[in-house]
Amino acid sequence: MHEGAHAGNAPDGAILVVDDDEAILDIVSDVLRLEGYPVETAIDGEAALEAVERRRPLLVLLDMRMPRLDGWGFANALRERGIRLPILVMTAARDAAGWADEIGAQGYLAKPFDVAQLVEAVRSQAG
Amino acid sequence: MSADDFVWLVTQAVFVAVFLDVSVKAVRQPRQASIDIALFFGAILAVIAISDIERLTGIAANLQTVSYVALSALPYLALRITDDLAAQQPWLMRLASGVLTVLIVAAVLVPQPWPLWFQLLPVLWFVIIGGHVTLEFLRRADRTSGVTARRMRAAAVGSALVGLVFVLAVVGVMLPVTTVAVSVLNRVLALAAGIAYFLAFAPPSVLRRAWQEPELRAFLGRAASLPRLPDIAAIRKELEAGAAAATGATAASIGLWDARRERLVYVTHSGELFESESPSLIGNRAFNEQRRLFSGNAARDDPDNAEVYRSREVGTVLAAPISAGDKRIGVLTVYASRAPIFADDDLRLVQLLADQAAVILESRALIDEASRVQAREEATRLKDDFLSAAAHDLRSPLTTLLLHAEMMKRGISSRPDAPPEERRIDAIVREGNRLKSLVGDFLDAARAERGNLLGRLERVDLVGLVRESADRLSTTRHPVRVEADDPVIGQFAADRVRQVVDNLIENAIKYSPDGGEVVARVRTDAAEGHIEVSDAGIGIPADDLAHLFDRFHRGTNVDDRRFQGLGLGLYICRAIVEDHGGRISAESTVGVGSTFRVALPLEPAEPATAEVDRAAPEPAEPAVEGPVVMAPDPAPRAADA
Repeated sequence: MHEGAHAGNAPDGAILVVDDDEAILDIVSDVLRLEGYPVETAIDGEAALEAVERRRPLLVLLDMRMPRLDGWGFANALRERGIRLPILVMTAARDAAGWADEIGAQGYLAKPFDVAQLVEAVRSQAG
Repeated sequence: MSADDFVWLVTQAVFVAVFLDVSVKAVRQPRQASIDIALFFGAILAVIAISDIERLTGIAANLQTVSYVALSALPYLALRITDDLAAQQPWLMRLASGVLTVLIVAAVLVPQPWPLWFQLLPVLWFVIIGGHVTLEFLRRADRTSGVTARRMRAAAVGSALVGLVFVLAVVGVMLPVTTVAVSVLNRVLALAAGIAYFLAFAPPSVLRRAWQEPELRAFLGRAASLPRLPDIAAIRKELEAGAAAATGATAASIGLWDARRERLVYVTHSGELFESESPSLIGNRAFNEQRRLFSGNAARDDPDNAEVYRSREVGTVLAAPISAGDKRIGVLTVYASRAPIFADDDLRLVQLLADQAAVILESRALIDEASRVQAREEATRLKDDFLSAAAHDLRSPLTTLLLHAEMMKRGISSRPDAPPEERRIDAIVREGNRLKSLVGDFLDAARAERGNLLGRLERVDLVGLVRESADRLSTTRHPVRVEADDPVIGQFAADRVRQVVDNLIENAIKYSPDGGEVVARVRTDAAEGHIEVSDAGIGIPADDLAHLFDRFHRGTNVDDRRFQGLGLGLYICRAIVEDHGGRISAESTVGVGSTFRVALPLEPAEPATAEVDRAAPEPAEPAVEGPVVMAPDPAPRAADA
C-alpha cells in the first residue's frame, strides 16, 4: 500500500540488511524494495563492514548471532572506526530489547515480525 | 635406712598401689580379666609380705607354706591374664592348673624343712611360664596399636623383669655367699617390674592420653580429606580402617541409618550391604539407646548373632552412636577377639572416633547436597538454553514463511487476476520443510536425552547401507566414492545408522564449497564395523573440534548460507552411535579436510533395545592420531539427563 512512496526522493544511502539466513535477506530486502528503499545485504558482520566501507548506509538491520563476525563484533568495529549509524537489531533471540541496548542500537525487530512491523520500524529510523 | 631398703620400700609401695587400683576395678567391673589381674597382684603382695614378716620377725614355719602356694599360683595367674587377652592353647591351661595343684598338694604334704630343689620348683616353673607370657604379650602388642599395644608391651616388660628377679633370687641362693650387689640389683629389677606392671594395668590418665595421641593424630590428619572421597562407601571404608587402627581392634564397622526404610545398613567384611533389625545386635542397641556400649562377651550379650561372633572369633564389642546434634547418622562398632582389660579407655576413644565420623559424614552430606543443587541448576539452565536456542532456530524460517505469505496475500488483494507468484510458493514450501526438519531434530535430541533413540535392531549390511546413501547423495560436483570389500553384517537400527551416514556425507559435501570427492570407507574387524567419511573441504578449527558433538554448537568459520539449526546433527549422530555401544570421532586440519570415524559393535552389548543410561556415560577414549583429533566429551550430554 506504500509502494513507491519514497521513489521520488530516495535518500543517498541504502538500508543494509545483515543476516546469516539467506532466506531472511531475500524476503526482507524484497519487502523494503517494494516500499521504495534501496537495499544492500550482507551475510555476516565481516561482509557488513565491507559494505559500510563501500557506501555509508542509511540504516542497518542487524542480526546478532552470525558466524565469523556477529552483531556485537560488528557494532564494536563500527565504534572503533568512529562510524555512527542508526541500527535496528533484528533477532530471533528472546532478549532482543536487551541486546539492542547492549550495542546502543536505536531499536529492534523481534523475529517473527510482520510486514507492517518491519516497514514501521524502518520508517521510524530512515524516514 | 640403707639405699637397698629404700628401693625395696618403694617397690612394695608400687605393688601395693597397683594392687589397690586393680582391686577397685575388679570390684567395680567384676570381669574375668580384672579379677585375674587383682588375684595376680594379690599373690605377689602375699609373697612380698611373707618375706618381710620372715625377715623382721624370724618366724618362718607355717607362713612358708602360704608363701609357697602364692608363689606357685603366680605363673598360673599370669597365664590366665594372657588367656583373657588372647585364647591360649587349652592343653597349656590344663598343664598350668595341673602343676599348680601338684605344687599346692606337695606344699601341704611334704614335711619341712624343704630341700632346696623343692623350694626352687615354683621359681623354675615361673621362669618357664614367665618367658612364654612375655612372648605372648609382645605378640599381642604387635597385632594391636595405640594404648592397647603400649600397655601390652609394658606388661611384657614387667613379666620379663619378674622372671629375671626370680632367676637372680635362685642364683643368689645357689651362690656360696650372698653378695650385696646381687641383692641390690634384684630389688632394683623388682622395682622396675612394679613400675612396668603399674603402667600396664593401672596407667594414669595423662599417660593413656599420650599413648592414644599418635594413632588419633594419624586418624584426624586423614579426616579432613575423607569427605572428598568419591563416594560414601569409600569414606565408610576409610573410617572403619581408621577406627580399627586407632583402637587396636581387629575390625570396625559402621552402620548407617537409612531414614526411608528405618533401619541400619552395615557392610560385611566382604563388601556386601547387610541390614539387621535384630534388637540385640550391639550396634543397633547403641544406636537405639543413643549411648556407648561395651560387651566383653558378645555371644552372651547378643544371642541372636552368637553364631556369627563365634565363627569370626569375636569376643568383645564396643559400639558408639554416630550423631550430629539431634540427627542420628549411624553407629560405629569395634570388634576384638578377646575382652581387652582396657575397655573403658577404648570405649571413650570409640566415642571420640564416632563423633569424628559424624563430622566427616555430615560434611559429605553437605557436599552431596551442594552438588545436587548445582546439578539441578545446571540441568535447568541447559533446558532453558535448549528451549531458547530451539525457539531461535524456529523463528527465522517462521519469519520468512509468514512474510512471504503476507506478501502473497497483498498481491492477491491488489491484483486478483494475476497468477500467484511461484517464487513465494517455493519459499513457503522450502521454509516449511526447514521447520519440519528442525522439529524432527529437536525430537531426536529429546529422545537422545532419554536414551530411546534406537528402537528395534535388525540384521544390516553396513556396506550396502553406505553404498545406498552414497548413490543417493552423490553429485557431479561432489562425487561420493565408496571403498569396501565384503559385506559388514551386524545388528543395527538401520534407519538411525543411515541417518548418521547421510549426515556425515552431507556435512562433507556442505563443507567442501569448491567441490571435491567425498570418500566413504567401510571395513570390519572381529567385533566392530568401521565407517569413515573423508573430505578435502575447509576443515574444522581445533576449538570447534572440541565441541563438535555437543548439543549447542555451530562452527565459527562456517561460511555456508545453507547451514541452519542448532548444530544438533552431530549431537544426534553421537547419540545414535553411542546407543549402539559404539564410538564416533573426528580428525581435521583447516584447509586440508576432515575425516569422521564411526565404530559400531556388530552385536549389541545389551539385548533388545540397547538403552543407554545417559547419567553415567562411559569415559570417552581419547583417540590420539593425526593432526587434531577429538572424541566427544560425554559431560554436556549427560548433564541434564
